[in-house]
Amino acid sequence: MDPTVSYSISDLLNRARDNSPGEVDRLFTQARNYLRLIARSQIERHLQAKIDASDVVQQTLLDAHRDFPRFRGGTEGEWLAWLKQILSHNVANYIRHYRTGKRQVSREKPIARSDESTPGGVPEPAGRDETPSQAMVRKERELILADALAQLAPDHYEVIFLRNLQRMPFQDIAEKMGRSRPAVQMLWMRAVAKLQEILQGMQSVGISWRKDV
Amino acid sequence: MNPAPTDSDFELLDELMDQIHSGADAGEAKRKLLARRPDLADAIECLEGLDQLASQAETMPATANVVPITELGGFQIEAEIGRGGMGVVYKAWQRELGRPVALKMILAGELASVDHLDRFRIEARALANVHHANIVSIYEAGQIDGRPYFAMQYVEGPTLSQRMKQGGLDPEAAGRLAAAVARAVGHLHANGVIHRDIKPSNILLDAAGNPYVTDFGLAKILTGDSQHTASGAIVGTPCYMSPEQAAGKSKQVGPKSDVYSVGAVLYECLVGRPPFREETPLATLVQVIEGEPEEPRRIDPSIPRDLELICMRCLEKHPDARYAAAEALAEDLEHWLAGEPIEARPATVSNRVVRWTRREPALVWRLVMLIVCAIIAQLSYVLGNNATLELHVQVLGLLAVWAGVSWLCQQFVRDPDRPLLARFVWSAFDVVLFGGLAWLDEAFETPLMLGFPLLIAASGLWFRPQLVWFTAALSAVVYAVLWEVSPPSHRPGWNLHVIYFFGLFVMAILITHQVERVRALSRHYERRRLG
Repeated sequence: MDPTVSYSISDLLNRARDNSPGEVDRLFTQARNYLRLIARSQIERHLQAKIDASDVVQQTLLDAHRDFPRFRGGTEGEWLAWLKQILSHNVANYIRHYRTGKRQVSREKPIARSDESTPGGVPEPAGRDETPSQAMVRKERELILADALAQLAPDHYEVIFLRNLQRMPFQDIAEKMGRSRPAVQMLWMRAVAKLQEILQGMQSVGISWRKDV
Repeated sequence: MNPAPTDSDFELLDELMDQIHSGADAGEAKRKLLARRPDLADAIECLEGLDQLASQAETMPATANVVPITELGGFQIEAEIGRGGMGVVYKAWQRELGRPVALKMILAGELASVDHLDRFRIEARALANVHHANIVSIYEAGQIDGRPYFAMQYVEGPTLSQRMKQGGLDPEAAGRLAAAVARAVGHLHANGVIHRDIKPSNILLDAAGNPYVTDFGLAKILTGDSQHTASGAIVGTPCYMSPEQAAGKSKQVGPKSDVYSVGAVLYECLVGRPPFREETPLATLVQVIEGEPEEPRRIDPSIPRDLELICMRCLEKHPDARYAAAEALAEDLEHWLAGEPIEARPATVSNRVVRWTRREPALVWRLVMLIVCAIIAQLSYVLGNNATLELHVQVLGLLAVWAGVSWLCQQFVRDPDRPLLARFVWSAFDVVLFGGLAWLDEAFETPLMLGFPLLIAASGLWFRPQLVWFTAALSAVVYAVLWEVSPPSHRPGWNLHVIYFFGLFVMAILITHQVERVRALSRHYERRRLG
């Protein structure tokens, strides 16, 4: 883990506004694991298939990168809500394309023009009901947690994804992963222990995800 | 900092998870657990954090209004042409110079791996030094908001693969197109660039039908027209890949690999399908490495013989047997177009035998086996003195019938409508004819009984478990008949026969197991990339 990774998004947002492409990239870097987790979770809720969500995430980051100059929010909550909105749009597209069995129907696909229902073309940031500081505390935790999850071994990641993110019973997870139920339970226990270790490791280099620190 | 929970803590944490998931207030359960086991505080907090993450993922707005901007640097984006895991190609208008461009962009900075960035730069640099009428040229490269891009000549299209869907090309047009592509590829090679992904969807045609070699492929960009990507199942097709590429022998991949691919494109232009296209990508891969394409003139006799020779020379398995360079291929095609003698020579006899073996392995190996059997029968008749002439003639006759039946079955297997039925019929004939031979020769309870397991093993090469079981069952039946009709054995008892039946059964299990494994790998390969 790179100890210099900063999780203060509002700082980055401010610096990115000063036209510093490197900062914009860092903003995206931080959201990547989080978005992948959310994307996969949303897709698998709708499709009973194991999907590599990285294309959807890349598309989201690409769209966000392009539209970044139009993003007006200044807090972490607004930033993540904005990203999530773009992500959901792409997830919906993905599911639609997947269900209709075609990814792209023709070589040329016109890009959607401005939607009249949103004047100025900027999506309204969600999460208005939260004060910025509350949003910060909650959202950043999730970014860090998503990063920590991404460091897990694939089967550890899988079992936590299914049990904790999809809230699936162990019996179903056992069937899905093709292992016995006791084996899956033990795998989950080890994965939780490993995740805790990773979080502690991150904490030791100054990245804290806990509410009270 | 607390120690990590151990396996014995499972019950406690699992119970807490159920509380949290049930939506009820888990606070009470959490406090109780914390009081009992303060050392689990970190683990509990971890689980709570994960649950918050889960609720984050739950909400999914039905429609989110995301408005893509249509300006990038000095380019006005008009439409998306192609997209892949690593980049995207837009049709754009360059306002400064007032011309249409194909704008290829990579995902920004960190979003692309170092490897992708390098490949992107290599591609741009390679194209920068290449100026050829039949290669899409690069106009400029740079960065917009930190994202590398390059602008290329915009060719309206369609791609060759789209063009071929509307109907085949006549041989002369196919030859002219292949010659132009070969010249372009030769120019690439002269500039130190090996394309490695020549295929119809990477060849653009302008309004006049001139081909332009392009390369969205290096970046694994899918243009929606490729047949294999339409189902969203697989990225990249082995249909136009040279055998050395298909076999993963990257050291051998060179200019002659591109020569192969140009030949494969020419082949498809002539007959309407690539040299190899099987039911599954894995089967196609196996054919690319081992098989022999059907000769174009067998499919369409109106195809000129010389053009077929040129095409087949490109498709040689061994790179050294192909044209030495793309330029040489272009020259030979131009000779043919001008009505001059060509360099490609008809295959020699030995070459033909090798090709025939590759094309019809099932028939050729059966014939080889039958001939060896006939030779052994002849030797034993001449050297031994225990066989009558009548029996000898019967044995040789049966071998000849077997050969004839094999040839007929081969014709039947080629019939694309019912290849599977033909394979069942063929396997049935094999078993029955072998049984007949054993009966004639009174070979029951001799080493010749090895034939049944061999036939079961051979049936596995069609990769159909049902076929293996069918062959095994029929073998058992024929064996039982032989047992019934054979003269009483000098070794009484039924136990050895039961062991033999069991052996056939185990053989079938082993072979189907292997077949299932290969099929699983094949499915995995097919579904490897979904997205």
